Amino acid sequence: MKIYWILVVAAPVALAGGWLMRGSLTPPTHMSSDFSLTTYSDSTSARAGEDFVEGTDAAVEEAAIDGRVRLPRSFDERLAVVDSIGADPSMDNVTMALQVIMAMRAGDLRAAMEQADSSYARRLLMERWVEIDPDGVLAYLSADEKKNYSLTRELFTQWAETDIDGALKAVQRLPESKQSSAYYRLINYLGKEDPVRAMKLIKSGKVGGNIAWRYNALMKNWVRDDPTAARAAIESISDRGERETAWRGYFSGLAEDDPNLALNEAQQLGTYHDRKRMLESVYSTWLRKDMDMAFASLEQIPSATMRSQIIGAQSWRLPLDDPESLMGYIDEYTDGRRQDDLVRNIVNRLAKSDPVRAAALVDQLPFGSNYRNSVNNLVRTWAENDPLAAMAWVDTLPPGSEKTNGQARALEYYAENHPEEALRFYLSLGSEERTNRHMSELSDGLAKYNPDFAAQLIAGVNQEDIRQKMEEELTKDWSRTDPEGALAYWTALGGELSKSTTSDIAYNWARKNPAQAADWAQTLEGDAQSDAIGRISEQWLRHDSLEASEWIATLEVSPGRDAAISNIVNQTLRNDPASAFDWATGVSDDSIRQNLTKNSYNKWKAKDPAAAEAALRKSDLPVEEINKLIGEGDKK
Amino acid sequence: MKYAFSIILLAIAFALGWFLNAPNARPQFDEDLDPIQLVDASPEWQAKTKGKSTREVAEAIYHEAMSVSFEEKYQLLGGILKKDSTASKLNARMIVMSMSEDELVRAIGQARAEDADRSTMNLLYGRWVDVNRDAAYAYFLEQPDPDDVSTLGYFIFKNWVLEDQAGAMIAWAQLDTNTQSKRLRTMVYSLAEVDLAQALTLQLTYGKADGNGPKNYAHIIDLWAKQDIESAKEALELVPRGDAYEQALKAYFNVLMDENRDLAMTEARELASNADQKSVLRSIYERWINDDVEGALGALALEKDPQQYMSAWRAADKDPVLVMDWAHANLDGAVQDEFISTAINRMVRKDPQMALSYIDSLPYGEAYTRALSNLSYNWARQDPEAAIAWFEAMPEGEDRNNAMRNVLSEYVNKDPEAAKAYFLSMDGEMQGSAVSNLANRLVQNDPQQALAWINSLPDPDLQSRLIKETYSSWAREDGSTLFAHLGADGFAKLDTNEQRNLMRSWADYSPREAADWLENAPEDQQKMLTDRVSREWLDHDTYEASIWISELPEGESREAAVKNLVNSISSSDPISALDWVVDIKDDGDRNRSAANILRQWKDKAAARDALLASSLSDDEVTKLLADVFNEKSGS
Repeated sequence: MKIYWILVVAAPVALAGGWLMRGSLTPPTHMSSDFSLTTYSDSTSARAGEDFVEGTDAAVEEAAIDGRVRLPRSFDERLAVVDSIGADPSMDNVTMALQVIMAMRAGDLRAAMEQADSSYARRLLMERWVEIDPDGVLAYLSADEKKNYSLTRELFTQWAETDIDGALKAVQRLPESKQSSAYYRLINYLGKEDPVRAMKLIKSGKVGGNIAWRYNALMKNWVRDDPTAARAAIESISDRGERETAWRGYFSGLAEDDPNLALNEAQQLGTYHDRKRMLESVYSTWLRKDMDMAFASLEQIPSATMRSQIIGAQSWRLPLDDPESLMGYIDEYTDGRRQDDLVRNIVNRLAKSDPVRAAALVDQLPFGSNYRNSVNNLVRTWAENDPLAAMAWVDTLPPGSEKTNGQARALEYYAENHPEEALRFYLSLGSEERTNRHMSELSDGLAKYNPDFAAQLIAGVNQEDIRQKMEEELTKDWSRTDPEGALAYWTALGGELSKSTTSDIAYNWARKNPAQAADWAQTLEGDAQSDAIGRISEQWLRHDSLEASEWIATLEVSPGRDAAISNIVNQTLRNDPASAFDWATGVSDDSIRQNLTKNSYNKWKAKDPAAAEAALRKSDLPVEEINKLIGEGDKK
Repeated sequence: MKYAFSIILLAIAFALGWFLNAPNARPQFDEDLDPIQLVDASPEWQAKTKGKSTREVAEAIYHEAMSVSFEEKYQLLGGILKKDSTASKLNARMIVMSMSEDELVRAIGQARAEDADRSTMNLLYGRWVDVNRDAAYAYFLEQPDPDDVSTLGYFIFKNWVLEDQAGAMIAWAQLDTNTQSKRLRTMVYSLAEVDLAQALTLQLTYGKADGNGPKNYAHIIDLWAKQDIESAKEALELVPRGDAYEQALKAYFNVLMDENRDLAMTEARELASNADQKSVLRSIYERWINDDVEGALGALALEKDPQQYMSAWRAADKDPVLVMDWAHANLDGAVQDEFISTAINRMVRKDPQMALSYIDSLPYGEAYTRALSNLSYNWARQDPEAAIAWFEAMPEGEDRNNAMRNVLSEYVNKDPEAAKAYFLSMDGEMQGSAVSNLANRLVQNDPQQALAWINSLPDPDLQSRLIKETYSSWAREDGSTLFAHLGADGFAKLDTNEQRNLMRSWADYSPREAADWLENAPEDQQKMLTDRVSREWLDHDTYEASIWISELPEGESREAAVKNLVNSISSSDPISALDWVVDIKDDGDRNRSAANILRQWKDKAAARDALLASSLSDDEVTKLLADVFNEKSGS
């Protein structure tokens, strides 16, 4: 009996002994297996207390590699050495920093990563921390609310390479917001090592993100190793959209290695749609790799339309290294609207990086909608960054609407960014150049910059006629963002509300708060009130037709009410002609009423003639209007 | 016996403990590489490296304690860099640092020929620049395509600007514009690591027309603000206004927000430009929403124009219920509609049923109809059967028809056969509403297959409607194939409206092809079709179209095209328009067109001179002088 009791006690002890013994014999994971600090610290040539010289002197670094000096011991000194690679990225210095990093423990690596100024140093520290303390990094990521994409990416890239099963388990310990990024890395790894497993993982639905694009990325690699297996895997995807996106990845990957093969294979596909979509993928790769060869190969595609569609689909990817040649190709392979879209896109992209070159391209364009749009877009982009240069270029254009529009647009951006200079520039123009159109754009830009400041600037304009026009323009533009403020400005100036100003304020106010705008409209009189009610009702009906119609029902008989009812009728005519007819009969203006009742009655009659006629006969309309409507209906 | 059993049992327990604590239970990412495996295992190499770690071999090579050939170094480097670890980085550097300049140049040539990976190229280029920058620069300039050696350029300028800025800028000036932009960025980033003021001056001096400018400024201000927020604010004022300023401003406020959100809000409100204020406050609120939806929405409600400062979708992703309640309480009118429909759009993608319950609670208006439209598309994309069940339960009317059309469009994409079967099961009125959407999607998939299916349908009326819509979509997708399919006879059988529409669609995308085909068109439709083609072509390329028009034979077709040409250029090029107007044979039309040109002409004196110099008859000139310039005959 005694021996069994001994065994009960001794067996766990033996188990623990085995555990501890193995643990003690295994090097700790935070120590690199091919690096030992003793290489340096045991150096006979180093003297205690004098072993570290700060700075990056080449001799010191060489001595460190030689093992003749010790590496810095304190955390601050180590951080200083590592961080110095920002200022001195020479190989000697980076090598020195790497040695220091190799000697640091997990906690120090993390602290140094958080404190280093140099982004290069932070990256090296992060990589090392992941190497020696993946569990610690995982715990850090799990607790930290920030996204930390780079750390997540680094951790799971390395973890996948070392222990994919462990990585797949570890990812589940991450917060959901970080799992998608981690899975991306794992699928990326599996895509190279075990694509069948990657496929299963994506199909499992656990990985988050856009499933179709996960397939796409997987196929891009898989096709390069085993196209047959990749094809079979794609065919097993049940969702048509996901399958198509996967095929696109397949052709894109195939084109990386052998674009001609990809082109031939895509051309064998059965339907026009499939051929076109897959060739788009082939060319998205090919054009990036070798634009000239890619365009030359287009001749192998028999359909000119398909060639044009394929190029049209690449608008954002077309390389801009040689825009002049690119424009030549576009001219050769596309036409009409598609060519317009491509050229516009190229000009827009080039305008951001090199507006002078973009302007040279625009100057070569044939006159047409493309030219017009390109001028506008170039001016907009250019003027945002350099309005004076943009204006100087616009001035070189031949006379015409493009030049006028371009000048106005450039002035607007000038005012938006440099209001005082823009106003000074405008006032310096001759009276012929200072057209009303320019003033409108100038005011628009000033209002966008800051309407209060614009009001101050305009108040300082000496020429009375110009100042008054600008004040009214500013009121309209101001009303877009702050209709109440604009109205207060205009009222303080003692100005009378013109039809267009009233209309602009009413429209903009009703977009933000129709009930308040409606209250304001009640304070107006005559045509101004009618116009305002018309604009407000239009906006309110769009927002909430019930509330709007309740308001309209409370309005007194007036041209404004008629305008509002016209809006209701036009809006409800299609869905509810009976209700539209009912509203139409309440219009006071004979001509408007006759027109509206006729439209709504005919619409209703087409759906339900008996009900429409019965309602018409019961309505309060004058007898001659009723008879006229019935008579017109009979003639039809 | 029982003692033997006990000993065995204890041994088993010990072994179990040993195995349970095996190192492979814990991840190890920095295992050593075997140097023997890294180089073609010649007996000499094996003898030299036997028993040594890669690190020891690398150190021995660096200290010249081991005699190795260039090939062995090169192979060892490649082998080491196959593993991306800190130890590999260190070991690889030792190998590279042991190479002479000749060996480096040789290694670079070999690595480029083998299309070696980026880490190998980085190390070789980086070291060459350390050893002999002038030679590296000369090599860089010799390359026909600087992008092929982009990394070398990076190392050259990254280091050069730190050591000798003036020299680096002289070298930089010799580069092409594209490379200049890339390398200026390299230098700005490199300088920013040591001296932000110098980095800013460099960008201001050399980067005025640089496409990377905005990013560079933002980078400098970001680093600056992290070091010293006060002086960063002063530096920000040196950044030129426009895109660059906007991005730099955002970078500054991002840092300030992290430090003190209240201060960031106060400073943002002090910005002179409304556009800047709006952009910064929006950014502050977006980040606030990420951290604390409720707090951010509470603060937003106090803003005068809260909708300016938030992107609905961000908040809707976090807490849709809270966001919708907030929008109802704090916004109104079209502004509320835009906000709510964006928020619902996000919700629809995540949970169509939940989105539907919100849509049902909206008043009838734009937000409601827009939300329904988004719901129908997105729901059908996810689950067409559920989407069908939903719209079928809706009351009859335009909203239901719209939903049905959207669902069917997506259904055809997802499962064409099932969608076609469903379409055939609809009643006549519904089919009428859906026919255009169905045909459009079927044509995108395969027009010939679509026609084959349509021709197999028993109902001739449905067939005819579907064919009409199919042709219409086909003309937009691929006019030349459609017209080849139709042939002159098939085209002649279509009604005039259809002929006109198909020709317009084709000419919109391929005016030249459409123009070439016109000779196949029926005689009696030539004028109408020439009119359509000329309008589209003139809109695309006036000059090419005018050449085509000039070559058209005399007749009413040409007359129609010339009138379009004159209209098209009368405001932009009135002199040419006045030349062309003479080609209009109809006296009345010619006179009207000429008068129109002259009236649009802003410079009336030039207009009068052009009229007098034109080829119009004296009578016409006299009439136009009177009509347009109020000049009576003889005055």
